[in-house]
Amino acid sequence: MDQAHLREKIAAHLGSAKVPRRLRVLSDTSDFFRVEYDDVLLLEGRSLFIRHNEREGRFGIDEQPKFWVRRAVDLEDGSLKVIKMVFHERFTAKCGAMTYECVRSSSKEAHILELVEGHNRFMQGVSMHDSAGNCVRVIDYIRGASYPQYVSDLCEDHEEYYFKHLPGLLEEFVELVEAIRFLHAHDQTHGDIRRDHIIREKDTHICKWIDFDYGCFHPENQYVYDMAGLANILVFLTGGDDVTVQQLERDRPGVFGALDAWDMNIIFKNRVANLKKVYPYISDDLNYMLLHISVGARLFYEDTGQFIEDLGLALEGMRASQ
Amino acid sequence: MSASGHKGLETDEKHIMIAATTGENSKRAAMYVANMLGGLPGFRVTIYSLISVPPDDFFESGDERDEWIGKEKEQVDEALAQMLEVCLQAGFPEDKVAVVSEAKRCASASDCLIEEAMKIKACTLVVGRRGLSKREEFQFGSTSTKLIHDAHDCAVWIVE
Repeated sequence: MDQAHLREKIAAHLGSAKVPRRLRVLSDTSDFFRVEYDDVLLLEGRSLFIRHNEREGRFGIDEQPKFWVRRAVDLEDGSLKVIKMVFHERFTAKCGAMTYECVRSSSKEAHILELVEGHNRFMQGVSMHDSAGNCVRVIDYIRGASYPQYVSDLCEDHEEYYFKHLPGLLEEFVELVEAIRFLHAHDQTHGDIRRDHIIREKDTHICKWIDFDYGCFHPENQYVYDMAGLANILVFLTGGDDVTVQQLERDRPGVFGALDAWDMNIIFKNRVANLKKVYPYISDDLNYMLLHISVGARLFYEDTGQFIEDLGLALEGMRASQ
Repeated sequence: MSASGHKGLETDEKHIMIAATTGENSKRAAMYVANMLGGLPGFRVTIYSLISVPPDDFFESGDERDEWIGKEKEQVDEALAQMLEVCLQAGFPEDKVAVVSEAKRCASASDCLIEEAMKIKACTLVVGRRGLSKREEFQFGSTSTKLIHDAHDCAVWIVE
């Protein structure tokens, strides 16, 4: 496609004011820092007009730019895409006495995108190869709210949230867990299950998993790391937000005084997992699930089947009591 | 190191499978079996090492995967040799101790160990507990805990 044609396409989709004076056309993304705003990236005959970096907030740190992830406009139809270029990371992580290897793998994400094509609980996209053979993922941009923000906004008063909103949220969460079960059944893992890796699509109101390129290898059991992520999201959903000892000490000293070490979240030591001590109307069945992520737990969820079964029981009880 | 597989199979023999890793826990498991059963007639032992291989997407190339397996195997072979020595010194005859190592994709180590125990008709599966914290067990799983729940048709010894 020649420059004149590309300029026409940009003008058609974004308006003539957005057509850059000097248009640079790239086809090799090996050095992703060279791919800049207003460039056109050619991938297997498709032309993508590069826009801003994507950003990711994590662990309370300000949003971090992800230089290998760019927004782009597909000049064929004007749709907004997320372009993920190859950034292969491999490192050894440590948790207590355990060390384990982690990777950021473009091929993992490409395989999952292929597997979940048409599945409404996952982001959609395709992988394409650039002129240097790099596996670039071209992902449909999801317009919508981040899941944690959506949930937190619903929870102004916890009791009202619990009875009015939580059953619906949990029904949707079952669908999200079913989606992870689908991955596991195909020998894949999400690899980085966090609440901010779910987006609630604005038009459909459907929550979708995003970002599957990360993976850690756990020889004991490939799936438990995903299970730990799901359990953490369930605690967040039930509380409507993180319930921390600092908040309780400040706002509800009586409840704070009744907590013991066993009630805390096994991963995040300042968060309460045994939420029934904070909100006594939480059903026993639901709280039983939360106890699986408490310091006092003796059993943990090892697969999505166990988790969905218990979640179904908890939901049934909540519906029956309404 | 003896060849894999057993010679002189006797049908009334009790077959013990010891799961081997590179950690001290495996050596403890071997020492426990050696102390309990070494020199007694009617037992044979398979020391089995499972090298759980990550998915192909974990590697940038097939060569990188082969190199990874090679390094793991090197470490495991050393541990297996030590465990074999422990058994032989305790009085197991050479033809009653087999050493097997296998590299394969395995979503759950405990499932693969149980599968192997069934395949070789082991009546007892022995593993050394690694002493994981609850947090580690929660995030990564515990083979010994899962074995206790899932193993049928064979006894499980967890050695501290």
